[in-house]
Amino acid sequence: MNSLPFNIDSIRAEFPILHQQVNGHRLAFLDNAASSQRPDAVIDAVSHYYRNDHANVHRGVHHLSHRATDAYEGAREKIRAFINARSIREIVFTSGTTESINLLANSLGQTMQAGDEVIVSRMEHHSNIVPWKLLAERMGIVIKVAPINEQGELVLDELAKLFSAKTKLLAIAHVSNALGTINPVADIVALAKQHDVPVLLDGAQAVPHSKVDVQAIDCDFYAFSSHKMCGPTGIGVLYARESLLENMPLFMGGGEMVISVSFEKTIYNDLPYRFEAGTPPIAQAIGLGAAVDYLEGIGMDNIAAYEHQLLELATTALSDIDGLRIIGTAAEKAAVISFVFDDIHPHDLGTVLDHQGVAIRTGHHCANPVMDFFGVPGTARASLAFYNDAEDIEQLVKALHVAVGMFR
Amino acid sequence: MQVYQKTVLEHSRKPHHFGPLATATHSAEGFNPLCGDKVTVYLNMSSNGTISEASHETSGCAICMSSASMMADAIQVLNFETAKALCSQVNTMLTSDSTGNPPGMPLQSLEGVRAYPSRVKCATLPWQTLLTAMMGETLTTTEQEA
Repeated sequence: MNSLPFNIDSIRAEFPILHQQVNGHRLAFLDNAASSQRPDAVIDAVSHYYRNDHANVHRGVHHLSHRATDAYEGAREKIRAFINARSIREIVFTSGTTESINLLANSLGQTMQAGDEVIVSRMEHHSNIVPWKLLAERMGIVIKVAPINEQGELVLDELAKLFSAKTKLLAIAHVSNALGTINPVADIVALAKQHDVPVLLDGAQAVPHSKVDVQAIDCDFYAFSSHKMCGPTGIGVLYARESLLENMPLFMGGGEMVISVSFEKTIYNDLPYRFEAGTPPIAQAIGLGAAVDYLEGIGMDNIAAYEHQLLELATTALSDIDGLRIIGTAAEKAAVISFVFDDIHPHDLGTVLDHQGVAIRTGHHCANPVMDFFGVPGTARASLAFYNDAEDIEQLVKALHVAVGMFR
Repeated sequence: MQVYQKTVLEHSRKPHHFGPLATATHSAEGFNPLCGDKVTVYLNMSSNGTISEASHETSGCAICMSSASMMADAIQVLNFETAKALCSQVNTMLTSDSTGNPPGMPLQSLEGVRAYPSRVKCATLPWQTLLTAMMGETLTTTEQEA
């Protein structure tokens, strides 16, 4: 590895979970695309909140409620700054990327008619397919699918042909969870703008690994999850351009999203609260705020640079293993390596690797259409984070050699 | 590793009784939708329930493949009740804490799978599919009871 942008040993020391033995081996956690781990700073922030500050937000006149509200809304501001949204009015808390997309589908769906079209791509996670399929089944919208090539890259020329007067939304991954492909999102948004079509980006795999600036990308909606970026589970974000969000039909009803309720008349709350019914995930938001502080302390550009070095190291090392084929070889890739052997099933690999302390994901990665495209039942996937190191890669390679020796 | 014993690996590399059966009277497909494993079981079974010939076509991991291969070996010429009892013995071996009545070798070489909860369905899928075929049904998945 070239000169590192930070001290990896210090970083690793901040993640308590990494320092344990699994099946008698050092843990090499390479399943970060499924869910990341948490540093002390996040664990402590959540713990501190529950030990000192917890009460319900936005409603109490008592001291703890004020403190909880300040911490909760402080987290929203941190997230706004992190993705460079214009205003906190554009930051809707959800339970995660999946709920963010479902919120959008259910809200925008109320403005669509049978025959209206939503464009997705072949590389989408199921969470950016099924909400649209539900709309198709419920009200007859049409889903158009942008193809990918053998490298796992979006075919932009073909995407461009899918727009029509009936296209209501382009919903596409920023980074593919199964292939690691980084899509040229600014170009894609510019293309959609030519057709006056709003764009949703599924940023679940992008936000944890590089600087995301929603104004620079110029997208209309951007969805991501806390648990993939060192924050707590159970919270995510839907960024929505205020001019669009202002006029979007409501999704869930309940407390928080209203100002006054009678059986004659309901007055709905301001943005973003009218899209946040019920008591929100307060501790999770505060933990996510702490995760944002932590990531910014390291620097997203440093994280991206380091992970790129790890990716190159791992790609070279894996390519040397006889019979190993990497699925997803896009020119622009995040630190995700999907691979297969023709003669070893991914689940057998997963079990043998686990036995040696190496945690990877095996299977279809909630992306069946990608697996079908490449003609494989599933893949093994090593996904890296900035707290992984060269030793993790060595351990992976060594474990793969053991598996190859066992099954051949 | 306990789970990948020599016998298991041999059966997975060169599965026995592999391929469709021209004389099949019963057949069923079994799917594991979580991992994409697929087993098709073919039986030549008389009206009194005697299996006179059996084969399988399996697409899956080493555990699923070897379980299907050993199963096909074990059920060539077997009556209905004995085949059903064998399914139950294998199921108990793979899923229950009680030792029960072990199915004997080589099937017992699959016993190590029990230590890997996420892989148990790989081993039980062929047997679930066999039961489905014996009952005259044609389709089963690991997400439902046979």
